Formats: sequence, C-alpha cells, structure tokens
Amino acid sequence: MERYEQQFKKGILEMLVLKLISQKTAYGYDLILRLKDVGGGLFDLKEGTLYPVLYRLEDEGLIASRKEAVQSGGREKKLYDITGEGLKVVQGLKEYWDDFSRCVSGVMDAKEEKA
Amino acid sequence: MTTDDYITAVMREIKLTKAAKARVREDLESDIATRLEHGMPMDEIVAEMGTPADVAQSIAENLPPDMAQKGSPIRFVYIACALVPFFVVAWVAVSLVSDFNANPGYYNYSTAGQYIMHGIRSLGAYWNIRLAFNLLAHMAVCVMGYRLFRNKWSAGDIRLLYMAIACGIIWLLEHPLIFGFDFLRTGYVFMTVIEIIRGLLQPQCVLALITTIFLFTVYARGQLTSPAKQAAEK
Repeated sequence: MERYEQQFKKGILEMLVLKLISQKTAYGYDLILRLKDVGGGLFDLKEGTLYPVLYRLEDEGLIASRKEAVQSGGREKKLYDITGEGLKVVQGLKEYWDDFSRCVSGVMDAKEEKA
Repeated sequence: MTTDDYITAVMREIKLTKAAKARVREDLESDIATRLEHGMPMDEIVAEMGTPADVAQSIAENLPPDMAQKGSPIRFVYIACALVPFFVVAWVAVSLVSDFNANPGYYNYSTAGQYIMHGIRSLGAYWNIRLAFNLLAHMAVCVMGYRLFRNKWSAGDIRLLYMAIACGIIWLLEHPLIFGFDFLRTGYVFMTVIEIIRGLLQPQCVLALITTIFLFTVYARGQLTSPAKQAAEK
C-alpha cells in the first residue's frame, strides 16, 4: 500500500508545486508549509524531496529562481517564480487532471457487476 | 550546531556535481534563514529538516542521474598506472627477443627456464616470483584507487580497507615466501634506513602509500561502510 501511495505522491508533486508557485512567488520553506497546510497531512514534505522537484521544474524552464537579501544575517533567500511556459503547463495540467480524476473516479466508484 | 556547520555537513555527505551542490547550498541557506527569521532555534531546525546525512540521501535519491557526481578524474590516473606494467613487460620481452636474435646461442635458456633448472631459490626464480607479487599488489592498489575515486569519499566500501591490508601482507610476505623465514632476519631486521627509504620511493610503492593515506583518511572520517550496512541504511 505504501508503495502505491508514494508513487501517487511522486507523480503529482511536480504539478502541485507548479500550481502553488503559479499562485504566489515562493521560497522552499514556504512551499513546504503551504503543502502541509493544504495537503491535510498527505504532503508532509522535507527539503530533500522538494529541492529535486524544484530543480527539475527550473531546468525545464517552467519556473525561474532569483535571490533576495534577507534583512538580517547577510544571507539571501532564494525565490521561485512561474514563467510564461510554466503558466501554460499549469493550465494544461489542470485540464488533464480534471479528465484524469473523473475517469479514475468513474472506474473506482463503479459498482461490481455480477457474472 | 550553526547554519554553516549544518550546510557544510550536508555538502560533505552529498554526492552531486559542483553546480548541483551550489544549488542545494543556496536553497538550504535560504530555508534556514527563513526559519531563523521566524524565530525557530537551530536545534529545532535540524530536527525538522533531518540530519545532514538524511538530507543528502533524500536529495540524491530524488535527483536525476545527470546531477549525480561521477567521481574524481583521479580515477583515470589509476587506470593509466594499471596499464604501465603491461607496457614495461612488453618492452622487456621485445628487448630480450631482439637481443636473442642478435646473439644466437648466448642465451642457454630463458628466465623461466632458469627457474626450472635451479629451483625456487635461484636468482631467476626470485625475480620472476617477486615480479608476480609486485604485479599482483600493484593491480590491487590500482583497483583500490579506482574504486576509491570513482564515487568520491562517501561511497567508500570497507572492503577497500581489507584490500589495502591484504596488499601490505602480500608485499611483506613476498621475500619470506621465496627465501624462507630466515630472510626476515637478514632482509628486514638489518635493513638500513636509507634502504627502506629507497625501497619506499619506488613508483609503485609511492602510489600504494598515497592510496593508503587517502584510504585511511576516509576510514578515519567514518565514511567507509560495509555493503551490508549500506543496504541496512537504505
């Protein structure tokens, strides 16, 4: 069961991260908190899982990173913005997801047929 | 533990290309700075993010293979070193054949023939067997060095250390095995310091010493683990 759950999560994590960044410019920790908040405990991520997702999206040109100085401590924050291409992909994924979830629900909710 | 200590520890554990490491470092700095801004103490941050080893392992598992570290180019030096003896042997063989052709009848029998004629304690046999021992140990050192630098330090395997110890034993035993244990008295006990230094400065000894120093450095840092332990950790 755990293997299936992990596969589901892995499959849709990029879509969720992309959607969250499309709603608001975000940094890593912010994404972790928002996923935790909206995920109802299903997406309790750690940095080690999130960073590779961000790097894949950035390498595909769907998001872009920039740095911003932190008020104290002399360190910089790394912020992620959605790109024009990313917005198109989010829109496409949303439409696909609607069809996909409808189809899956149709199969999973179907009543058993007696032979 | 400070932010720098934590990030340095993650960087030490992680096996990624330089560019990928720089990205991870930026994100870690950013996320730790954000938590600190929220008033979270460092201990709590470490507890939430996980140990440096956990973070490194998790990132490495989820990243595409092209971001993974391919190993140090030093490994190619070991491949070259492993090939050198073959060229030397080929050169000696060609020289012997050309000498024999130039002076037919001068050689009564080959070096291998001397071994058969005069037994294991003959000078010819000594050099044959010593050459075999040296080649064996040299090849083992090359394999060790190659494996050590193929995946950088943290992918160390404790079997490399066992191999190094075996190499040392092979080298130490080659003389007693050929000449009997009397050699221990004459060969080792009465060796002068200069003789020892001269022996250690032979190219294959220098390579073995450097490799051993690298190996023990990795071992001292606790980065050599057995395959069973690696599997258990996964």
